[in-house]
Amino acid sequence: MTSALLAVQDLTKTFGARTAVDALSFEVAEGETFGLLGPNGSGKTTTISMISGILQADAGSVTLAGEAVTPNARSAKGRIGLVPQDIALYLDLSTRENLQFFGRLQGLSGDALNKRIDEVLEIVALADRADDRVSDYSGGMKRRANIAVGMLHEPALLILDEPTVGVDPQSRNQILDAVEALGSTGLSVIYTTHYMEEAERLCDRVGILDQGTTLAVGTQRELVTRVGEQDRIVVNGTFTEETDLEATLTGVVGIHGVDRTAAGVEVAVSDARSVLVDVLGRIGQHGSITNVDVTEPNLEALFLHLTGRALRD
Amino acid sequence: MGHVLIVATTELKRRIRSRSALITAIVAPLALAVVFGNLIGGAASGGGTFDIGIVDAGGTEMSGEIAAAVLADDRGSEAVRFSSVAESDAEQLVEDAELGAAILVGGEGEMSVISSEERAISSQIAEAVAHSIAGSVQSGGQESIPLGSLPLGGRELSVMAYFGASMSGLLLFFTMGAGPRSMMEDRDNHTLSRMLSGPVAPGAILAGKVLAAAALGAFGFVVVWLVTTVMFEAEWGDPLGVFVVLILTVFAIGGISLFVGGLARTPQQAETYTTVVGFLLALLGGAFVPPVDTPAALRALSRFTPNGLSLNAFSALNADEASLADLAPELLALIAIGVVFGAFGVQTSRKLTAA
Repeated sequence: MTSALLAVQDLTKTFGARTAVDALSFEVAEGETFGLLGPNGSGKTTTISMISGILQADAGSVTLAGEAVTPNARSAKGRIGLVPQDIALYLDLSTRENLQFFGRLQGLSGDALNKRIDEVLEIVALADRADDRVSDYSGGMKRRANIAVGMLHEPALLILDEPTVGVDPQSRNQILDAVEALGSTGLSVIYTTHYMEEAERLCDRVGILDQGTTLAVGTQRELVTRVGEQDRIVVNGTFTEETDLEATLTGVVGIHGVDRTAAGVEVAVSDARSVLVDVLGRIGQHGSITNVDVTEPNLEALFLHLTGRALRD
Repeated sequence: MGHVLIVATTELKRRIRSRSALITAIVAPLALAVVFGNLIGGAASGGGTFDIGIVDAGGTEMSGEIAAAVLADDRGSEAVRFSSVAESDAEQLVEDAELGAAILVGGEGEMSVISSEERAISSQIAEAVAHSIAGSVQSGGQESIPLGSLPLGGRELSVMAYFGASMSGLLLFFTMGAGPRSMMEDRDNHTLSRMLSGPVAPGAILAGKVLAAAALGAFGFVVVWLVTTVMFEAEWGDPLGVFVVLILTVFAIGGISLFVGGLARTPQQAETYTTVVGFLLALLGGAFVPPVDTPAALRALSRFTPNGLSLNAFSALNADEASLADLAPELLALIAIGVVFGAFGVQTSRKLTAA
């Protein structure tokens, strides 16, 4: 990992007798998209409230490029962009007016503000509806406007708290595209979600959060390897029965097992992507292949493995 | 200060766009002032002047002197006019609304009043004059005939100005109460969190909200002042004095509204609290019934309300041509109310932005 932009160390927050976040620690590198995964009530929103300086931690620390982030640390807070889970916009104003208001609070003004507003409106694909009142928007458009405000002041760290909750598939794709594009610009992003497929698509690394603490942090592959899950290459077709496919695959790195099935053959491997061409070439010599599917162990399975519960329980 | 102004201007834009704010700040006080002003004006014999007939009913030297003294009193105001009336005509004149009421002076100086239930204020004026004449007779002189202490502050008072000020003061609670209410709405719709996640001090957000409410409240008050002056010929008094009293009234009521609103947990609760406190203080302060027409205890109590202090200052400006120095006690009291309740209000509102 490159140098850490954000360091969260032993972060703790209690509300009465309930500990919402319990000694949480992780880092986010410059240019990295970091996923915070966990079910509802796992402490994601409380965590990002402390990271963004809205909520004072009871213990632990948050530093952004070495500068402590607290509710009074205005300079550090000015380098963070927050996209809250809820639509945090004035519905009786247009998106442009919302952007002007929140942009001014962030210290932008004049032509620089207007230019930046036009840029973010393009990014979230709302340029043609920018002067409509937010109350007239669909749920997906409101979500995109919500994101636009968070990224307006070109923060060093953008925090998106479940930005696709309750949106239609088209808007969801637009949002994911926008986040992907932001990640590719070198912006550091924290993305909280309980949709594993979003984390798998967007995040360089993920932290699995449950009951206020991190169960595991790493790349998807690292985490999956850690719990012993394997990739599977499912090859459908007709193969000569007398062929010993296991022997055929001898020498391919990371083969864990070969099973004949009614539809063809399934191969368990450590890393399907790296050996796929080799495996198909060898098997193809002994019959005709009609279909190939690769299944990688996912974060859903990982969460189940770590907690004994499905993510959306 | 930059963030305060940014919050205030956006708040003003939103509230002006929402027409209800303009109704509360301008239309409602103006309409109420006109309604109340005309109700009271209608009670007088016309044009906001109360015509009281004086009848020498006793026909004695004493009753004749008393009647003459009242009729000749050059402190009589344009608001109250006395005229000599024959006893046989008095009742009919009152019934025909030619007179607001009539005072009958008996042979031994005793008084009685002919009045109409439809003209309650004129009746009260006549009762008050009769009472004071009787007091004057008992004290052996006529100097104390208190033509300067009649109802509506007892002065040469513009009814429309009085109710313009009183209704503006009442509605100010609703306009100013919108400041803390707006903070709660921002909390509920998450825009407050978004602001707090940026480089903005919580106090700047509250100050911006209150500044916007105060600007709207003051603007509404000024509009009522100008409209009643231009359209209804209300005489408020020295413009500088009126402006100072107006601003300090906004300040004092703003402080109370911030405090009361800050006690609430929800916008609905804040609105209820503000309504109750606003009406109570306006009622005690004489917004609906001038303090002079209320029991002594209530009159005393009105001096501890921002509405009462404000109305007293406005009355002094338009009736007594008082200077700002003359109004120092009222002005200082309004400042004190604003400072004390405003300080408590800031404390009670802190829970909204507590990290």
